Amino acid sequence: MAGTLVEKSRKRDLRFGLMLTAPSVIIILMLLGYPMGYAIFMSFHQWNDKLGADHQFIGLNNYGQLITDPAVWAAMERTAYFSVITVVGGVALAVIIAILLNRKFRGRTLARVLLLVPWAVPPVVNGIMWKLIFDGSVGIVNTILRSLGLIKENIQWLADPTAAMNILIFAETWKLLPFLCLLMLAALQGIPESIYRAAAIDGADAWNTFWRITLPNIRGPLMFALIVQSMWSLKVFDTIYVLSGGSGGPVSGTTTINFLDYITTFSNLDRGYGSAMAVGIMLLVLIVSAFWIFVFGGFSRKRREANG
Amino acid sequence: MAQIELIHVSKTYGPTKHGRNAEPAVCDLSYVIEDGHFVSLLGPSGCGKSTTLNMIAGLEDISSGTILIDSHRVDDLDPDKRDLAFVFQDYALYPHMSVYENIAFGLRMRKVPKSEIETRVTDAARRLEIEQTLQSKPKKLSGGQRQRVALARAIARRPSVFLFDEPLSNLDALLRDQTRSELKLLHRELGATSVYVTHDQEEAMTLSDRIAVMSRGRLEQFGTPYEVYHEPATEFVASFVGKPRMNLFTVTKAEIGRYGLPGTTFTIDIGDIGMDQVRVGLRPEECDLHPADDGAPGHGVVKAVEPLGNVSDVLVTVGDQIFMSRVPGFGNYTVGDHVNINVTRARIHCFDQKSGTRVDH
Ligand SMILES: Nc1ncnc2c1ncn2[C@@H]1O[C@H](COP(=O)(O)OP(=O)(O)O)[C@@H](O)[C@H]1O
Ligand SMILES: [Mg+2]
Repeated sequence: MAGTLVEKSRKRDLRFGLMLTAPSVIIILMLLGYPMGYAIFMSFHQWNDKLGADHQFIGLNNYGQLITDPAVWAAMERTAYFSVITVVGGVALAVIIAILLNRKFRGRTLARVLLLVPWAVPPVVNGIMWKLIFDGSVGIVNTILRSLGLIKENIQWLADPTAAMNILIFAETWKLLPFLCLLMLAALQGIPESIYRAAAIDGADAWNTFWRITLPNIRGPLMFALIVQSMWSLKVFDTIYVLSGGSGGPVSGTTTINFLDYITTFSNLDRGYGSAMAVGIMLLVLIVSAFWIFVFGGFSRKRREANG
Repeated sequence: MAQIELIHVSKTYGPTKHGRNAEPAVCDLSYVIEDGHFVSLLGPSGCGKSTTLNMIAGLEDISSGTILIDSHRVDDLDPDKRDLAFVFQDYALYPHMSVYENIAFGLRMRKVPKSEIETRVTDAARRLEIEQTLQSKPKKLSGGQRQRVALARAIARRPSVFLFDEPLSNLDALLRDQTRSELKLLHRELGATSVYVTHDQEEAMTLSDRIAVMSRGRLEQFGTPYEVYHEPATEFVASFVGKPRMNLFTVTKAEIGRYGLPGTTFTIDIGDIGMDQVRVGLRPEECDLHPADDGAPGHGVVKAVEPLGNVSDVLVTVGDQIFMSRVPGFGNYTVGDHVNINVTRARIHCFDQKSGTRVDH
């Protein structure tokens, strides 16, 4: 009797809960589910606006083209280069800066505030800023290098594909660091001070303290930072757009996979192929996220076994 | 084994936010902790006990003075070079490591061979009866178990000095008493020099060979529990040690050798100490009460009776003072009774009114 009463009230609670979440679920479905579904739908069709309005169903042909397209592989290579440096380098740098900012020193509060400045700059402004700084004729970098006597002639930084890519990495890292640092700083502050004292008594040097105390205790936030930054790096767009003037150049030097998708869809108007590429990028993001979860999950399991 | 010597040790934490130099947290401490002794640092919260302990451990720099361990200056030695173990108030267990790893960590850092680590960890775990929890993470343990892991971690290191910073204060009353007894046994077994910080005078009395009573960063008295209880060096020690608290009041010279509480008929015999006024201390359990003669006002009036079962605390209003007497059993006093106070049995402690130091008589 009592059991059924509890059961009933539980059901009522569940129904009420569903009702409360329904509006947001519906909005999310419309805003995310519809375009996503539509993209998947388009990706199975010949859907090129240059070829007219005849949208033929072609099955997996777009995906087949994706795998064999040399432009895609070139873009993937650049994406990998860009992502590995910004994700691994960015997060590592963030951990180092956060550890420094977590120490007691004069002007620490000021330093923490200054850290946030790049974050307050809108992404497009950030792009324009670095474009001006590395400008071939009026950029400050050339001026400085010339006055130091390191170069004689101005270098056209953004005209060289490799240099442009590295400048892109630099500008993006500049932009993403504050958030990662803040995340890592919050994680570090969550570690109780007393276990560092215990470690000092136990005889752990700086190296051991970092690897055996600090790092394992920020594992969760670290994984989160790596996943989030991987997503952002795979989907980088605005800085490329501004730095290359919307071309992804010079000579495709800054065309990562997401930018290639943009060019395919909106410059070449091949929306079916572009959609297939978008779906591919989505899968890529999922795979990379799963990779990080696997790495961190496996790491903790191995530790458990080692302790066992 | 180790003897610890503090010589004029002071500590001032950096200047405050307002730029002024902070008051010293610890000021001019000098005493010797003998090899194998269990010494408590006793005092109210904020009096500099933890600061002192941290300086001995090397977790805080010494502002001035010197600390010697076995006659060697350790001022510039890192904590891990001082051969000591520390049990923290919040236990400071490594949250990401199993109990086994927590205990083994200090040994691993010291490059103790693997087999030796295993022996020592199991041995420490057996002593503290936490063998079943060795594979658990600290999060899964109860407060009492964490406490034991912290103790096991210290023991497994086999240091020559143990430092404890209020290790029992996070336990509930029952567990606290039990662990206190175990600590005492443990110390007797291991025989290592131990420095124990506490604000609980009962803990300090029961555990210690010597007690260092501190107040506002200064040493008030360094002595055996007997000395601290029966010959308090200052009024602060007299009031801080002992439960119920000692009766302390100012008396004025009445006739040769006798001093009285102004406005009352209560007088005590101190002898000639050549002072017009003096602070006097009487332990409640050494003062007896007698009902006043019929109709006589007596020394005072019973204000409250607090029975504890085996004894009762009787509060008596004497002039504008409250005087406490601990009488056997439930006593047969009721509020409003006129009573006389008899101090013939009591040790009379006298303290200088200004400096608070003990005056012998
Ligand atoms: N890290 C610190 N920085 C500044 N002041 C401190 C610090 N630690 C303790 N103090 C101050 O030093 C005094 C003594 O503190 P502490 O040794 O912790 O006292 P206790 O352990 O006896 O409660 C207190 O006034 C406290 O505010
Ligand atoms: Mg303390």
